[in-house]
Parts: sequence; C-alpha cells; structure tokens
Amino acid sequence: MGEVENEAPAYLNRLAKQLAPSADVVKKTLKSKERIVHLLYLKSVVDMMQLQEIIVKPFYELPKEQNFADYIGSLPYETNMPSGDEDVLIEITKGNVFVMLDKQINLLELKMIASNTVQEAKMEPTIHGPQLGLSDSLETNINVIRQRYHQPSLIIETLQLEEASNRSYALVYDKDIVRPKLLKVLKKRIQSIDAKLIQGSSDLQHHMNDVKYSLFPTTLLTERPDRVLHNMAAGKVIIIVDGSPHALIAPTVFFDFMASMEDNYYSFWVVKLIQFLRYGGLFTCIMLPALYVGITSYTPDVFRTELALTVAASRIGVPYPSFIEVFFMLIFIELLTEASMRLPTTISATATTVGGLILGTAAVEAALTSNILVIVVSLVAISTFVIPISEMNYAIRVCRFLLLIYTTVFGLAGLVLGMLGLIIYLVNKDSFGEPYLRLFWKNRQEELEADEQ
Amino acid sequence: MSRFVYYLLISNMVANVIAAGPRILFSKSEQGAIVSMVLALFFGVFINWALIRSFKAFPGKSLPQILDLYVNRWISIPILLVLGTIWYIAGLQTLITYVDLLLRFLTPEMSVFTTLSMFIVVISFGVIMKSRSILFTLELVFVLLLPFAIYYVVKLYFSPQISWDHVKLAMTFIDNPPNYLVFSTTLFFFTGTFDIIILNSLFKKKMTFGLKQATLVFLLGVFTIFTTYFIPIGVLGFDRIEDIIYPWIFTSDSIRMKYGVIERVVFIFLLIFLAIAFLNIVIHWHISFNLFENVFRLKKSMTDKGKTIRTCLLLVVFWVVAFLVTVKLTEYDLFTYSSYYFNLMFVVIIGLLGLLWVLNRRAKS
Amino acid sequence: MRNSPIIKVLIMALLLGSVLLQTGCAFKDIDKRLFVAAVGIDPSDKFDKGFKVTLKIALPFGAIKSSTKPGYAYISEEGASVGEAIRLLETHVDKVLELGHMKTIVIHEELLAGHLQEFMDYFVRRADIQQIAYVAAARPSAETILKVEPSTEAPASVALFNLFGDSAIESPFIVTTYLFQLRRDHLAKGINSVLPLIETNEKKDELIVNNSVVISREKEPVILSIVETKYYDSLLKGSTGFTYQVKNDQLKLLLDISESKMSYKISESKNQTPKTIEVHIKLKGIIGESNKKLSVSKLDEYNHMASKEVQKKAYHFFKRMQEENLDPFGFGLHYRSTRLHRRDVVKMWENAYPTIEFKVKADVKLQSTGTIE
Repeated sequence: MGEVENEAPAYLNRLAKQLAPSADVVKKTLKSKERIVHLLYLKSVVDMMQLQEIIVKPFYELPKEQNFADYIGSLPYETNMPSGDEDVLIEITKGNVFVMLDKQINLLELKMIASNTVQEAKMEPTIHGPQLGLSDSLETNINVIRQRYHQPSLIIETLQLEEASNRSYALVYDKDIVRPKLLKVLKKRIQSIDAKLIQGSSDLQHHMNDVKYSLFPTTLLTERPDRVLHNMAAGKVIIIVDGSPHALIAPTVFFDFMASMEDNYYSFWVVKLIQFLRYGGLFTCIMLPALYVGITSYTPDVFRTELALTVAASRIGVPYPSFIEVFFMLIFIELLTEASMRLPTTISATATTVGGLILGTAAVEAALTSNILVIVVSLVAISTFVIPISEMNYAIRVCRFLLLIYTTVFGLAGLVLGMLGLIIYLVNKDSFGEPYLRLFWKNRQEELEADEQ
Repeated sequence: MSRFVYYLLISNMVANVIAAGPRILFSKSEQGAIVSMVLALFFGVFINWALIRSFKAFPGKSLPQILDLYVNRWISIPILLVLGTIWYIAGLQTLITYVDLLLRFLTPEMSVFTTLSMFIVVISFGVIMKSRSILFTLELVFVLLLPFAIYYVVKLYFSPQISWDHVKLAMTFIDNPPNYLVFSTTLFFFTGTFDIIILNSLFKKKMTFGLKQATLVFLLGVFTIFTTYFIPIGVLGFDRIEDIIYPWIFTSDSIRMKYGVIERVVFIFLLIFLAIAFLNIVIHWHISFNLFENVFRLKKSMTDKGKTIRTCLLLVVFWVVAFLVTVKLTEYDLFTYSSYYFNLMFVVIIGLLGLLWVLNRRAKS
Repeated sequence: MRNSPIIKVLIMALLLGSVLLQTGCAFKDIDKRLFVAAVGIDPSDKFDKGFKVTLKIALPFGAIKSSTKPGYAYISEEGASVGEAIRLLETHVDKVLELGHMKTIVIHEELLAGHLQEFMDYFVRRADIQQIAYVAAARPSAETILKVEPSTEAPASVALFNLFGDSAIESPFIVTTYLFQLRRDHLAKGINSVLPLIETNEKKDELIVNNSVVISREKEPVILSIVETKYYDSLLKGSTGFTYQVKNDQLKLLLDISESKMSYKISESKNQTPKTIEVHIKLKGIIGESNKKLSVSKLDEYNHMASKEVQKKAYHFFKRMQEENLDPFGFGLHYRSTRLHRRDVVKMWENAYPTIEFKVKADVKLQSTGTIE
C-alpha cells in the first residue's frame, strides 16, 4: 500500500469551512498505518454510539484498507449523494456523516433523534382504537404506517421543502387507488409554496390553502394512525413532515371533518345514533343563537304560547335587545373556552367552573341576561365540542357569528337564507379539485371520475 | 336520466306551489280545471320525453354550444336572448312571490327593500358559482328538507280536518271543457327539466327516457297536481276558494301540530319553501345568466377582467330590474302577468322543442 | 374560478350597505310585546251595528314557578268594526299587541244570526292570525266568559286553549271548531257549522262547555242540547270515550264507547230528486255501569237493546235538524259531491231536504261488561 496522506482533501475542507464557525462541527481524520478516513459531521445530530460502533471500531479492527472501503459501501445506512455542495451540506445538517475514504465519498445516516417515541393521541381521543398517535420523527411515522398497511402499492415519496428549514417530508399514498391528477395537483401546490419557514404540518396546512381569506380547512391534520390509514385507503394522500407529530391528509371534504374514527368500531345503529347526535350538535351550535334572536325579536308566533310567555317572562328586566344579549353571552363562552385551552389542565377545570357556573348565575340574577339564554348558550357551547376535528370546530364557531349577524338584520328568513348561503359556499368550495360538500349515492370513486371526464 | 334531472323537475314542481299557479287553477275550478290538468299531465310527460330525446344526440353539450356548432351566430343570439329573458322572469316571479309572502306572514313590519336585499348576497353568489355546485346544492338541500317535507305531506293528508266531501265536490266538475290557461299553468310544473339547456354540459353520460322514467315523471306529476289542487280544496272548502290569494299558506296554517315544538305548521311550510324558492331562483337565474353570458361573448378569448366586468354588469342589471319590478307590482298585477307568462311559456316550449328537432336533423346530416 | 376578488368586494359592499340601510323597525323584543290570548266580540251599546271587542292578554310572570294564579289583563273598546276597535285598543297599552298567539275567538250568542262576514272578515283577512284559532259562542256575553279565571287554571297555561286543544281534555261534549273550518262550512252550500257554547256558573270560576250552536247564514242559531252535542261529535267526528245511557224496563246500562263510525247513503227517487238517507251507525264499547248483575253470555241481548236505543235517539236528532232546516252533518254537501255537477243541484237538494226520509240503523257491539260481571 502507498504512502498515507495526512492532509484532508480540499473538498472536505471546503465543506467544513462553510459549516464553520458552528461549535458542533467535527472534522476528524482517522488514521492507522495503512489507511486514512476523513469524517465530517455535526456532533449534535449524530448518534455517537453508532458512529463509534459502525465506523470507528471496524476501522481499526479490519485488516486491509480495500476491505474497509467495501465495508463502508455496503453499510445499510447510506443515503444518496446529492450533487452540489449546498445539498451535501443540507444532508450533513440532517444528521448524515460525511465519510471520505481516498476517492470514495459516502454519506451515512447516523441520525440521533431526541424524540422518536410515539406520543399519546391527545387531540382526538377515542375509547376504542389505537391510543397512541404519531411521533416527531419521519422515519418512525413511516414505520407506523408500514406496520399497519402491508401493500406493495403503498408508495412513500420523500421530498424536501424548499424553504429555510429544508425539512424533508413524505407523500404517502396507495398508487393503485390514488387519482394521478390529484397527486400532480398536490405536488405542484407544495412546490409553489412561498414561505420563509415552515415549522411542521400545521404550518404546511396553512400554506397549502390556496385562497387567501379562507375559513374552512381544506386539509386535515391528524395524529391518529387509524385516521391516516382510513383516509389513505380511500385514495387520499398523506403528507408527513419531519419533526411534526401530525400527518396532513389531502384532499379532505366536509364530511371527513365530521367523521370520528370510532364510527368504524361500533355497531351500525350505535354509529347511526352517534352520527345523528353529531350532526344535531352541528346544526344546534350554528343555528341556535341566531334562532333565539330570530324568534324572540322578529317572529314570536313560532313558539307555543306557553313557551312564548316563559321566554317573555325570563327576559323581563333585561335592558338590552336580544342580539346584544346573545353576543355578550357568546363572547363570554368563547373567552371561557379559549382561556381553559391556554391554561394548564389542573387549573382550567377551576376556571371553567368559576366562569361558567358562577358568572352565569350571577348574570341572570343581575338581570343582564335571561335564564333561557343561559341554557341556550351552554347548549351551544357543549354541542360545539361534538365536532371531532378542531379546525372544523373553529370554522363553525366563526360561522355562528356570521349567521347571528345575518339573522339580527333580517329575521328568521335571514337565518334560513344565511344557512343556505353557507351551504352553497361550502358546495362551491373545493379541496384540490374535489367538491368540498356533496353527497354520494353510489360509489364515491365512480362519481368523482364521472366529474373529471 | 341522471338523478339531478329529477331534482330539477321536482324543484320546479314544488316551487310552483307557492307561486301564482294554484290560484290560477282555483280561479277556473268551475270552468274545466280538471280536464285541463289531466291533459297537461300527459303533455307534460311528453315534453319531457321530447326534451331528453333531443338532447340525446349531444351528451355533455349545452344549448349555446350546440347552437355554435350548427347555427349562424346571428340566429342564435336572438334565440338566447329570448330564452334568457324567459328564464329570468321565471326566477323573478318566484322571488316577487316570496318577498310578498315574507312581508305578509313572517316579518310584516319589514320594508320591501330590506326583505329584497337579504336575498342579494346569497342569490348573487349562487348565480355566478359553478354549474356543478348548483346540482350538488340541490341534492343536499333536498336531503336536508326531506324529513320535514315528508312530515308535512303526511300531516296534510292525514289531517282529520280535511273534508274529502269538498275534494269530491271539486271532482264533479270533471265534465267541463278544458281551459287553455289552466293547461299552460299546469304544464309549467313540468318545465323544470328544461334547465338542462345549460346544465346538460355536466351530463356526460347519454340519458335515456324509457317507460320507467316516463312512469316516474308521470307519478311525480300526479302527486304534485293532486296535492296542489285538491288538498287546499279539502281544507279550505270548494266554495269561494278562489278568493284566497295564497291558498297554500292558508292551508298550512290550518294544520296544527298538537305536540310539536311549534304548533303552527305554517312556519315549517314557510321555511321549507323559502329554501325551495331560493333554489328555484338560483337555478333559473343561473341558466338565464349563462344564456346572457353567451350572448355577450364579444371575442372568443376574453380577458379575466373583461369577464368580471361582464359578470358584475349582468348582476347589477338583474337586481335593478328585480328591485324595480318588485316595488311596482301589486298582487293583482302579479296574478295577471303570471297568467300571461304561463300562456307564453307554452309557445316557448314548443318553439324550443322545434329548434332542438332542427338541430338534431342538422347534426345527423 | 368565477368569483374573482372584485365580485367579492362588491358583494361585501352590498351586504354592508344593506345592513346600514336596515332601519330595524321590524326588530321588536319579545318582552316588548303583549300576547293576546283570546278575543271576545259582543254587540255594541254605543254604535248601531258596531261591536265591543274585549282582549284577554296573557301576562308573562317574573317567576312562573312561585306564582299560583295566572296573570291576565283585559281591555275592551267599542267600535264600528272589529278592526277599528282593535286599532283603538292598541293605543291603550304601552307595548305591541301581538295577535299571532290569539287562539280563541269568543262570540256573543246573539251575533251568530245571519251572515258572519261583518266581524269574522277581520280574522280571516289578517295574515298573522292563526287559522287554527278556536271559535266559540258565549253566553251570557263574550266579555264575561273571557273574564272567567277558572280555579283550576295554572300560570302560563290558558284554560280556553286546554278546553279545545285536545292535548288536555278530550270529551265528546266539547265541539272544537277552528277558524278555517268555520269559514269553510259557513261559505259552503249544503252544510252548517257548529260552534261550542261556553257558559259559566254563578260564581264565575268555572267554564262550562257542553252545549253547541248550529249556525246558518239565513236564520237564527239553534242550540243543541248536551245529548245532541254528544251525538253530533261522536257520529261526525268519531269522538270516543263517551257514555250512552240505555234503559229497559228493569235494566239500566251505561255504555263506554271506544269506537264510533257513521256512514250514510243518499238514494234518489226516479225523477232524480233525493228521497232517503240511509244512515248506518257502528259503535263499539264496553258496559261502564249497570243497576243489575250482568252476564257475559247475554252480551248479544245488551247489544240489541243498545242498538235500538241509539237508533231512536239518532233518528230524533236527525229529524229535529231537518225540522229546523239545518244540516250540521253536511248531507247536502255529500249529495253535491256524489252527483256529477249540474246547475240546479243545490236548489234540488234544498227543496228535497225538508221532506227527505231518514232510515237509521245502529249496530252496537259490546265487547265486555267491564271488570266485573
């Protein structure tokens, strides 16, 4: 074997220079009698134990240099070598170890991930079904999906975001079911995102919305693997961003947001009852405040006489017109909800009790609101939480206010027209080419294809 | 036929219940209403058959597209103008009737302008939205209303207060000679399908109109006509029913829900029909809007800005006319003009079918 | 996309504009309205051919649970017409008079003679008045009846509604006539409408409804007795739960009827004038009271006895109505509806009815003798 070169090659130096003066850059040269290996990595993201086990130890134990080059080449940790310095550097920042061995250069993925444990599903808890959600690491998440879906047609395309963080993300889909047009639209949309920094799936969701002022989400954020699979099996595309414990499902339509995963676990009639309750809750929380204003202030003839008298009696002494009363109470409830969400769980229970019970009673005692309205508002608040997905939940809460305004101005007919307006708005909206709100009688897939012809 | 075509048909049938239709029928109840209705029923099925059959040769094409292919533009422009106006009036008629109803029954103290302006936003949006969305909305609203509608109809038919003697009494006038006005009014119930002159561009599959479809249309017609004509007579009596301006509101107000959340069925009726009327206006105006759009297509490639200006202008014209007419028209005018409109409609339908027949022949040669 | 930003801005501007234009005159809170529960109409003393209108206004109570008596306010005013009187009454109160909940119209007995158009027109013409309001006749006067506050009445529930509403009391002695029914029957040829008659006791703390009034456009109203009211209600409307008394030489039975049906056929003589009405009455029920020990095996005998009794009573009722030339059952309407329309069909019936022959056949089917023999 020839003379061993001591100097690090120019290429390596160039790379190291660009990473400097970061404190965690390590440029190391392993040297034994007849061979020399140059390593470049960031020690904060590389798993030291693995580095020791996989590269350092064999380096000194293997007898011949030729063998070691082959050995490095044969390691399963290898990532593809990109062309261009910039891309190589990005790979290094992701936790790859740059290995230079004579003329042979390799990138070995010896990532150390602080949080690759699967987290508990907190956002959408169910009684049955998986209790664990996804994790922060892309690899673990893909592993979670692969583990539950054994199909050769399952495709995982790992791509990279083109913004500051250079995150990798994966498009997961079943290539037999997915519509090719959808895939194309999706990729184009992600590539056209013009953002400085994307922190994770939630950010991505926000940026993927093509309309500037939008209310309803067109993609669904979930932490439940069963929801991910359920949607993938229906021909949708899952987007997983590295470092984010949520998966993004696209395209999603209105009914996807109203589905809970438990619908798949219970018996038919139970599910129907739950769904009935859920849609009942949806209509209640959108329409009830507006209905109260519409009936009490415009058309009290709608009530039965007994009820009209009771409502009129409960409003005696309330100084404000009904719509101010309702606005006041609704904002109060929204504040309570927001407050209890921001507080640690131990305190939030107290806050809600104090706010809800005591203030509510006091408001009635002080004749600021009628006690019937307190019932109405609490019913609205409770039924809001029947909607399983929080993004939809928020959107509906906003709609409630819009509908209330429309009814305040136009009366009961305004309520119905406002509802119809909401419906046509939703129907006309689309999520990546799929109508946002529509009914399917026959096969969903078939009808969608019929549209595209 | 696609299921959406049935929705179009049904929406038109139901919407006519609140409009001037029933009142016209009752005004001729002793002058041949029944025979004319039966004749119109058969003729209604026939025009549906003729329409679907003539569009069979052009799957996925709307009337303006077909006209572009086979007819000179100077011929097609007046045709589109006339059809656009006819469809606009159809929507306007429903709008005026409903505004009148709201002013009378739901919010009597409100001003006409306020009542009209509550329609502006939603209907404008409905008119300019994608045609596809209109069909989906139709389906969705129907599904949402279905439980209420079934409840309402069952309640009507099984109301103990209905006097079937009055219904039978109305039937004894079966031997009178037919009346043209009743005929054309009833025929108008069946014209919902004619919305496919624009919406056909969404129906890519070839539609057939066989015995099955004919039976369905026939049964729908029988049910609608029977309900529209005889149920109010059963509730309100045969003698002097022609005095009532809104027989259907009166009828609904005569039904009581003993244990319902609300006692007066009339409010359910008003709100169901508000939705149906809304759909009806949106569909008709959407068709009219599209027809006019095709008229004012100055250049083949219009810029986006040009399109927006055209859309805005058309909408402004739509609403200005609607406001002027609604404020001016009295109930009596509405009644008389509606009858003129129905009479004219018959001629238009025949003309349209004739036109389609010519187009069919041209396409074949 | 069709809806470009410009259109959106336009639509928003229109929406905002319409909100600003809204004068809000239709917006009136529920506590600023007064709910009229019932209207009473009496003949006026001041005006010739005028009316005295009394409104019974249900007052909302601060605490329904703790109040024991319902609260009402009564206001009356006289006017040349009903509408005028009500318009005057609107100036007597500080809030909006809401007639949408007005569910009972009580009319002084004497006003029921002749055509009702004069004072009923207002109720039919006004859009916000329910067509399912109950109409009743009052004795001695509508005002007295309205002012009766029965001792059984609970707060926030109006006794007059419960009487006719069928959701509380259902009795064959109470005839329920809705406003639309009154209009229909009053305008139709060949039927006369029947209204319940409300009376009160001397202490004015009870409402008594067990008689009814048959009214006609041409003549004075005729009062139906308790038994006639019961027969009318059960035969025409199939009301149940009523009792029939059947008397024999030694036996006295009280029947609880659970099902009643009446069907009839009008047959014509050769020259096409109506000649006979064959009425078939079917009743089903049990024995509710007896003065002697009964035997289940003798049910047939009791059936026979009851049938004869019912037959007789019904025949008398029909006959009396015929003598008064009234037709509460609508035989005339039925006759019109079963013949092809001819111009003189109404006249023919009117000529034939006073002399028409009734053939009544009753079928009583008793199913048990109650819980004991």
